This record gives sequence, C-alpha cells and structure tokens, in this order.
Amino acid sequence: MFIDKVYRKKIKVKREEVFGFALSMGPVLGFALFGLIPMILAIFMSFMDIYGFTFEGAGFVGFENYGTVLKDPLFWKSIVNTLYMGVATFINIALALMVAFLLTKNVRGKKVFRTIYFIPYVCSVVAITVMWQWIFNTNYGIINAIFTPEGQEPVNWWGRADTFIPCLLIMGVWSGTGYGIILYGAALTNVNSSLYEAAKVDGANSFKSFWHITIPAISPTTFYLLITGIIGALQEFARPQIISGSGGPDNVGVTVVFYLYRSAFQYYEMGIASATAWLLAILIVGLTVINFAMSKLWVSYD
Amino acid sequence: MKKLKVLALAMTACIAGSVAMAGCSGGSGAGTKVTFWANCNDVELGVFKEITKQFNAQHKGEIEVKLVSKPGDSYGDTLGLTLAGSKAPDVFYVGDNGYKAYAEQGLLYDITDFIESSTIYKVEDMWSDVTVRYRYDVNTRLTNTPEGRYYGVPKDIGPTVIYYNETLFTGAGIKIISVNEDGLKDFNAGGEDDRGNTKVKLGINGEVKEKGYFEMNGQWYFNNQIPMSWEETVACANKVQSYMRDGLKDKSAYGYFTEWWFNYGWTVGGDCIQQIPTDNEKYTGYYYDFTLMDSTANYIVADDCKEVKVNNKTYKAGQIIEYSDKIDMSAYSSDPAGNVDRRDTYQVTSEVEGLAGEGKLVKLPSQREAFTEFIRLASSTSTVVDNVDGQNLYGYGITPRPTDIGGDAGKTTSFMNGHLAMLVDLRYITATFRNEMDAEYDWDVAPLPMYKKYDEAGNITVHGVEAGHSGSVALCISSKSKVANEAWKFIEYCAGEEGQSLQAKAGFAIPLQEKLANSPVFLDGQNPKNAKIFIDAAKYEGAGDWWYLYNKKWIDNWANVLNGSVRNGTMTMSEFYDCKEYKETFANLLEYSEKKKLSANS
Repeated sequence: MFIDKVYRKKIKVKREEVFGFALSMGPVLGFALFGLIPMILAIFMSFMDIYGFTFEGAGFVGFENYGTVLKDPLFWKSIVNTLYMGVATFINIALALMVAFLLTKNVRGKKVFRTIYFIPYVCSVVAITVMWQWIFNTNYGIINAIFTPEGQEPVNWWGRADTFIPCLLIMGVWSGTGYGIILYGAALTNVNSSLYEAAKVDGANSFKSFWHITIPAISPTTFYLLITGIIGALQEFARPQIISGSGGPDNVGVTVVFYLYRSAFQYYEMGIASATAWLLAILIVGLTVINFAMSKLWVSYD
Repeated sequence: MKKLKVLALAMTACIAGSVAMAGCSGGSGAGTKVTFWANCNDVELGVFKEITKQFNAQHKGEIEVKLVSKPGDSYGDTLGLTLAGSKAPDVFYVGDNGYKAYAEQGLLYDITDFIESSTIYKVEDMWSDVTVRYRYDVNTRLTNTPEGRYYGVPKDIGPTVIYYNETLFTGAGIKIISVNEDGLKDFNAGGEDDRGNTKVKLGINGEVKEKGYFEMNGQWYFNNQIPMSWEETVACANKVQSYMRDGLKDKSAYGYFTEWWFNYGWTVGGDCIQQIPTDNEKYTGYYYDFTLMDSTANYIVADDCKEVKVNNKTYKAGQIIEYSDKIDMSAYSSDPAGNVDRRDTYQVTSEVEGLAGEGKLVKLPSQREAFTEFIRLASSTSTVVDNVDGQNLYGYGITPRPTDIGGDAGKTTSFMNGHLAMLVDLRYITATFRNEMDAEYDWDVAPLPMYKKYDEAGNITVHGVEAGHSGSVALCISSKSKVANEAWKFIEYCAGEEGQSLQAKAGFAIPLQEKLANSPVFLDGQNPKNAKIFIDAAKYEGAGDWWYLYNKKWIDNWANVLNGSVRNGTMTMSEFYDCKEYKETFANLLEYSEKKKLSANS
C-alpha cells in the first residue's frame, strides 16, 4: 500500500509537470517563432546585402550595412527625433504622480476621475492620433479656431518642423498619463501610514513627508514607469506615421522604427532594416542597463 | 461526460463532412481556382464583383475566380510579404510605386508571351504611355526598352484634370464657355459651343481668344476646354476664393488645390531627374542627375518653324528640346562620385542659344521657375517663396497645404462640400463626385494649366505643352502561381473590351482602348459633361516621379523639407536649393544605376 502511494504520488507529480510544461510551451513556442527566430534571422540579414523579401542573390557584406546606417544623417536625425518624442515619458511620470497624489485626498468622484484619465490609454492609438490630427488642423482644428486672433494666419501645426513634435508630445501626455495615475494610485495607497505618523511626531511638514517618505516608497513604481516608458518611446512609430506617412516636415516625424520600417517595406532594403533594428536594440539595452545601474542610487525596495 | 463525448464526435463529423463537401465543390466541377486580390473602394469593388461573376459564368466548369477584397493603405506591405511567402494570390493589384521593385525581386510572372499572343489584349489599340510604362528591364532598370518585359497590364488609366465647382463659379459671377481651340473660329462667327450657347446668349461682344479664363466688358469667362495659363489659374482661383470667403462667409475656403508639381514642370519641358550617359564601368551606361531646381532655360521649337535639328536630332514645331540636347553633356564627368554636388554646373549649348537667336527656338522658363510657381500656390501671400534678382516672390495663398487638407479623403471632402472651388485629381474620383455632388452642385472638368503668354491683343506669343500625370494600377500574376494560364485569361478579360466597359460605366476609369474611350461607353452623358477632357489628357499624360526609379528613397529626404520648411514659409527656394537634403540627393541617386546593385538581383 505504501509503495503504491509513493508511486501514485510520483505519477501525479509527473503529470503536473507535463501539464505545466505543456502550458508553458505556448508562450515559449510563440516567442521562439515570432521573437527568437526573427531576431536570429535579423542578425544574419544585417550582414547581408538583401534586396526584397528573398535571400536569392543575397551575399555577405560584413559590417557594410551598419556602416551605411551609421553614416546616414537621417538615421542620426531619427535618433534625435525619437529622443525628443521620448520627453513625453518624463512629463507623463511627473503629471501622473501629481494627479494620483491629488486623488488620494478625499476628492468627490475620484473613481470617475481615475476612469476618465485611464480611458485614453485603452483607446486605439489610431483613433486618438486621427482625433488629435484634426484638433491641430490648420483650417478646421479647434485649437486654431480658439487661439487664432482675427486677421492673423492660423498656425500649420503639423506642417511646421518646430511644432510637429510638440504636438505629438501633447498628444502623448494626454493619452499616456492615465496608466501612471493608476499605478501610482496603487503605490500611494500601499505606503506604510505609520511612517507618516512617525514623521508627524518628529515635526515634518507635508512637503517633507512627501519628499522623504512618499517618493522613496513609490520609487519602484517610478522606476518601472521609467523603464517601460523609455523602451516604449524608443519604439515610437505609429503616431508620426499616421500623421505624416512620408516622415513629416523636414523629416522630424522619422523615428528610428519609422526609418527601419521604411527601409524594409518601402525601399526593400532588408539588410539595412535589420542593421537598424540591431542598432536600436543595442541602444535600448544600453539605456536600460544605465537605468538599472542608476536605480541603485534612488530606488528603494524597503 | 458521455453526452459531451457524443457531442464532440458529432461536431467533428460535421466539420469533416463540411471540409469534404467543400473539397468536392472546389474540384473539377467548379474548374481551376484563381485567387484575385483587389485593393479598391466600394464602388470599384462592386464593379469587380460583377466582372468576376461574368467571367466565372463564361468559364463555368473551367475557371473559377475568387475575389478577395483587400482595402487599406497597408496593402502594399501585406502584398510584398505575401508574395514572398507561399500563400500568394494568383492575380492582384500592384500600385505603380511597387511594380518595379516586385518585378526585380522575381515576384511577378513575366506575361510578355501571353500579351504577344493575345487576340484580346492588343497594345496597339491602347493608350501608348500607359501600356509601355509596364515594359521593364530588370537588368538595366530602364522602362520601355526593347529588352523590357511585361510583368503586368494596366487595370485602367486615370488621367489628371481640374474638377471645378460650377455652382461656385456662377456665384462668383463667372460664366462658362465650352469650346475648344478648333471650335473657336466657328463660335466667334456665331456658332454654338458644346453646351449650345452662342456669344449672344453669353453676352459676349468681342472676339473670344484662346484663353482659359478671361475678362470681357467687365464680365469674367471660364472656358472649360482650353487650358488656363499660370496667371489665369491664380486669377480665377482668387476670384472664386474671394466669393467663397467674403460672400459665403467660408473663411477657410480655397480656390484651387493640386499636390503635384508635374503639370508645372513638364509644361515647360523640365523634370526632376535626367539620365546622363557614362562609360564609367561602375555604372550600367548611365547615371542620374538631380534637376528639380535646374535653372537653365528650356526651349521649344517655334510654331512657325516646321522643324529644326538640335544636336543632330530633328525636332518639329511645338516640341520641347530634351535636356540631353540642350545641355553641353561633355561637361558631365564620367565619374559622378567624384563630383557629387553638381548644382549650377551645366550650361545650354551655343547651338541652342544660336537657334533661339534666329527665332527657331523659343525660350521657356526653367524647371526651377516652374517649380517655384507651383510652390507659390500653397504659400501664403505674406510668405517670401524666393528672392530673384533682389525681388521677393510671394505666395498666392490659393491652395491649402497638404498637411491641412488631410490626404486624399480631405481634398475630396473639401471639394464635395464646397470648400474648394477647383481640385486637380485623377479620374477614379468621378464616381464619388457623381454620388455625393450631383444633387447639390453643378460640377465639371477642365484641362490642367499650361504655360502661356499673350500679347496685348490676347494672342498667344509663347507657350509650353499640355502636360500632367496619369495614375494607373497594374494587374499582375504571382511568379509562384500554378495557374498562370487561367490567371492570364482573367486579366485578359478585365483588360479587354468587356471588362473595360464595365469599369467605364461605373465612372472611375477610362477604357484602355482608345476606340472604346471615344464611344458612348465612356462618353455616356453623365457628369462630368466635359468628359472628353480625360481622353485628351490620356494622350499626353505620363507616370509620376515615384514611377521613375525602383523605389522612392531618393525622393523622401528632400520632399519632406520642401513640404515642411519651404511650404511653411520658413525657408526660401534658394535656401532649399542649398540645404543638405537637396545636396545629398545627387549622391543618393547614384546607387540607382550602380552595377553592383543590379548584379545582386539580376
């Protein structure tokens, strides 16, 4: 009987393992097929002169594609554009913290506010972009309708190189802040209230409590928002592409991913596109590593 | 549990049965299956459903075409990837900016033999420019050479014309005349124009000249069969625009919209690139020079000069001298890589200048002047577009900027809603205007502007040529198709008289066959009444610059500066000419004729 029990238990464990393994295979296979294999292929392709969607006629060219990309002024411009658009990440974090903090107070209907703030985040990026495209439209947009003085020429927001990205930043802040508000809302409610009481006893005012207790306590959330925000910002593509499929005025709408996409699907230069993809990956990894290293200085997990 | 198992078994049996049935229906009874991807709007889709239905009925048991609608802007991306994979459709639309690239990648079936042996698809019966643009040599990357092969046939041809809102014109106090150059003499003698109007009816008591827009005794007239000059276009647009803004209180109304410079550049014989022959082994016998802002004058053979020889080539009256004949080509280096910035390097030959001095050739504006004129349309009246000889050239402010109007849908909507008086567009949009405008507005079409100058009596002293671009989409067969013969039969049907008639009736296309286009099939009395303008345009209009080379990479860089700072008034044309994006284009163009790039794919 005892042996039987042992064997049964063993069999049961094995079945669980098989079941668990089978369940985990879904995402693993998904990653292998749509993540790992394309990544490996992209490495090979980045060293090849590939025209179009076939390996036929392709040959190894060493680092030539990387050289071509790095020598292209438009690639460097695309990095500057991407980083500029990425400024929205920092504004989002600051604004989200401010709004979330206000919502911890006894504000009437704060759940409604949270929902309203979160709605843009779950909306289709295409719908939001088209909406903002019309808001900033020169002739029919509400911004110019309100702010253009009589007799003055309306501003061509999307047509000017100096206003194109600021418009995108406004759009990004409007649609991206809600996510941070929700995360910060949760983080703020989890801050140990005894710390505030102790600080109060020690004579700390509200600002000091916020600066010395709240900010360190929610720093893991800030760090998470920063990392995911920066990675997301470096992959910016859809919004500038919807607004100006050709790359925007003076090429200010050309982000790194836009540059990559255009190389691959409009110019059919797969080698160049793959090299760009790997350069972008290196940039993202580099910035993330720096972020993690810096996080030791300001992120507190206590 | 048992019930569940029974249910599962029953469902499995049903699915298996359906699959088996589907297999049977797709077998020999229905004939060979041909998959067809169409990337079009609802009107066109309806027509192609009808074409497919009729074709299937005619080939019952032999061929069955399955139409799959693939709408959307990302069609090109989807198609390229699908063609490279194993699930490629047999027949599909290819836009003119993807055709050459797909052909070079070996994704398209070479249908030259099919065309040459066809009794239905006859190239000689069709508009020459639209058929030959599909004859492409993947080795030299040149179009319409004897070695070129056909990888597709035009689905249709869509020339560009001016669509104008006649209700707004009338409101602005402009009367419409509809008579062409040949009919002017008769009209001036008291005859009727194409609308049955006489000079008396229209209140004209003077000689009507060959003008598109003119004033006589305080009354303005618009002749919808004669091209306007550049000045007339601006004047006419301003007149209607003022009426719309001041009379109708539509503050954001505009008089004219075009997004293409081709009409302006080509009417004086200019172009954005030119082919330069070279014996440099690095290239395949030629390379491209960037001439978008070439400031050398153009020349046309005088009307009273029967013919003239330039650079040993004979030109007839009214023909513009080609770039390679007007410029001293010996000044071009055989190694362009060593002389990348070639701006303002070349001169008109003394032979051409001599012939101009003799009056055999007449001087026309340079490509730069023509291009500047185009830019002035959308620039505001306070914007300095350029400074020429110390004199500021300001914008005209008659055209909304492309970013404001919001792409194809925006310009169409603006015109349909009466916010735009004139719109330069392709034929395909006619069907939409019929549906959306006929109830509210009178509208018609007119020829594109043309470079013209008049003397004080209103007679033409200098003129360019009628020019513009026509759009076309190809029907192609996948190189991987196992049913290429059947696929060709379907394409042959679409491009033949039956298929073309159905497309023409729906309004979005002109039949490929010239004879059919000149018949009631196309000239069916529906709006636009002046439809023969499309037929005239189809004779001389060619493909746009995105068709010149195998991709648009050489265009995007400078075009974004042009559509950005230049058109927003923060950069003059002279500054644009000196900007790095403009200068980089010379080097970017070189790769399009390098042997290395070609050999990798040939």
